Amino acid sequence: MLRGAADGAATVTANGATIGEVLRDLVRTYPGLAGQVLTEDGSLHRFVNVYVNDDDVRYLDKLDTKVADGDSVSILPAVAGG
Amino acid sequence: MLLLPPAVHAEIVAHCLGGLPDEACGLLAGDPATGSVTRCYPTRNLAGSAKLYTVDPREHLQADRDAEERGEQIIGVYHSHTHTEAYPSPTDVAQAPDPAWHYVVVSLRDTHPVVRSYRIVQGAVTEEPVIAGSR
Repeated sequence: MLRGAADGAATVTANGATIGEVLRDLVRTYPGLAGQVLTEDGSLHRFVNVYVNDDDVRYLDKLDTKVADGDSVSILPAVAGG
Repeated sequence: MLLLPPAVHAEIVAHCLGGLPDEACGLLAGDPATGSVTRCYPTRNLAGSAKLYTVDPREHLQADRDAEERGEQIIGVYHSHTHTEAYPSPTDVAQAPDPAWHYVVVSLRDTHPVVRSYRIVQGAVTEEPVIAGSR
């Protein structure tokens, strides 16, 4: 679903010094992602997991987590049910 | 429809049985265009519950990367129902993450595990045939 909102791309490029900036940049490029990755008040959607390289940003600095040039940011939906 | 090789079917069932008394869950990789499953990625159920499942996001990340390296995609998820039928629960429907995915439910309620597959699109559940094969 995230891929569909990004015109079918599995890998895209985005700019930003922090995860928050990267995600906002992504949403600017792919407006279809609005509301799926960030909530209306700009925080990380709870049904999405974001990794910088191998680390979950929720265990780092969340949206303030710094990203460096070439870092790999992975955005995956939460997969759950009952 | 879901094209599921017998070996993968067996792996899914074994993982679900091995997860008892909790629900087990895992991801399916393959070709989204044809619904052909190449492999499954058994994952940890972070919820550790007989009624709920949460795919460990770290294992999801690894599976996603591995599939991509092989030129495949994650095309669905499987999970077990320990005491109910092989049909998506209201929670399954409400939390289905991707309308393009295949949702496999394995019921362990009776003597023999039952494996069924579904599409869940905007709250609508449609069963699809599971074909034992690969192409």
